[in-house]
Amino acid sequence: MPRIGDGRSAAQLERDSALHRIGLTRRFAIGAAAALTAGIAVLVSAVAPGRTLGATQYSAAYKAAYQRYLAARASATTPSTKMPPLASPSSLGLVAGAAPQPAPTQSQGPSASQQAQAQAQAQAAAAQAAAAQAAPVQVAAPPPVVVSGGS
Amino acid sequence: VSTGLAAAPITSAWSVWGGTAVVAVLNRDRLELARSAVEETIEAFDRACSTFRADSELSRVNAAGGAAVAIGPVLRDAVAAALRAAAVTDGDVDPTVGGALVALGLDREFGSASSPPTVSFAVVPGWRSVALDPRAGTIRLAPGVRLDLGATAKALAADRAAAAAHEAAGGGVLVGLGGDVAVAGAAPAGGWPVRVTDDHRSGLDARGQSIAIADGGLATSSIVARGHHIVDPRTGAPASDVWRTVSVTAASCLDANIASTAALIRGGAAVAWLSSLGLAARLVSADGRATHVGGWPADGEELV
Repeated sequence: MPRIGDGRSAAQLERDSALHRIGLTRRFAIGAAAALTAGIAVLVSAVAPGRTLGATQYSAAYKAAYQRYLAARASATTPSTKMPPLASPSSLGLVAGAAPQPAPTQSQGPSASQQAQAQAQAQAAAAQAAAAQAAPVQVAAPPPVVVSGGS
Repeated sequence: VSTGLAAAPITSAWSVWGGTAVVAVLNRDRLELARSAVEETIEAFDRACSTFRADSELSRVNAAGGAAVAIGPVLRDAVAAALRAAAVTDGDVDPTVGGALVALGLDREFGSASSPPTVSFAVVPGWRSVALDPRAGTIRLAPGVRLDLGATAKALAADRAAAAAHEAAGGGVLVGLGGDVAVAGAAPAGGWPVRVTDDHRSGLDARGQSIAIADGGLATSSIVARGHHIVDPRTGAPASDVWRTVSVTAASCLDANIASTAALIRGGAAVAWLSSLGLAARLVSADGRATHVGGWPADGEELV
């Protein structure tokens, strides 16, 4: 077999040249495909902006099936997503109660000793005794059962 | 035949939480049942909410260093009540003042301090830093945050104790816990007579006013009883001293306590705030003059 220059044969040189051309062609094909894809994307976005696959018109059967799926998913998750009960009014603000009353005072008729005294007074002055018996006698109010104060 | 005279309430009193507990009933036979129910409630709140015992649930939460802690229903409800108090008062009553109380030396039970504390100020982290999950029964505090439920837990305990005593003993019941008063069941004719003063440890004849309540609760907050221990969450320092004592009645002792504590902190603006809420209140100024709002009676007032 004849040898040329660096010792490779003509067939080997031809083979290497063919392999080189294949490499170039492959790189050109990849670059061209990428450029073509980008060009098509630019073209589509310019022609139909905002369009997505989600806007595709689905069939009625597909829509019905999808609605059934959504309903089933909602019912399955209801227990964990249930809102808590509404708060009662008392939990939202301070609740006023009945205003306190003045401390109770007890009024009653005269005691036995007071009656005797009144009778003695009646012997001296009937009119004054009658007035004394008619008037209620103010006695001490019931003592408080508890002290409300700072602690 | 009714004589029109009120039956004299029967009372039992004992020491608790550095103060006095009182239970009153209208039937002597029911007194022991009522007192037992109150004592059980107090013990449950002490185990859950006390910052004075290391084995309480609250002490465990405060020491958790930011980790979530499982808690029982009593502490859960007490924390929920405290957070609600903060919400309805725009943060004036804030359970995260625990750190500030420690800094001010006010974290010790009344009468237990052996020497004057060193006073400093601390920033109050704010009630929104508390993560309470009532359903899971857990609570998590940001690292360094300390809860103090003293402003609301005692009042909630009074409400719960009155309800428990009423359920156990039947009939009308009054419960007083350190100055916070709650009633349940039918009140005696004319209402439960209560003495309102600066300090609940003072006698029934201390200067103040005698009133009567028939339902709900009554709470008194004061800076007189054990010094100025009400902390303004916005400053971490003792609150203003416009009022020395504020008493409020409400549908519950808890709400009354929230309002009386917030009124002390709000100072001069408290009168309009209480009036806008329709709450009956008695406010005593620093110089000893009483102001009545919301239908609080003036009869028998000794401070004018």
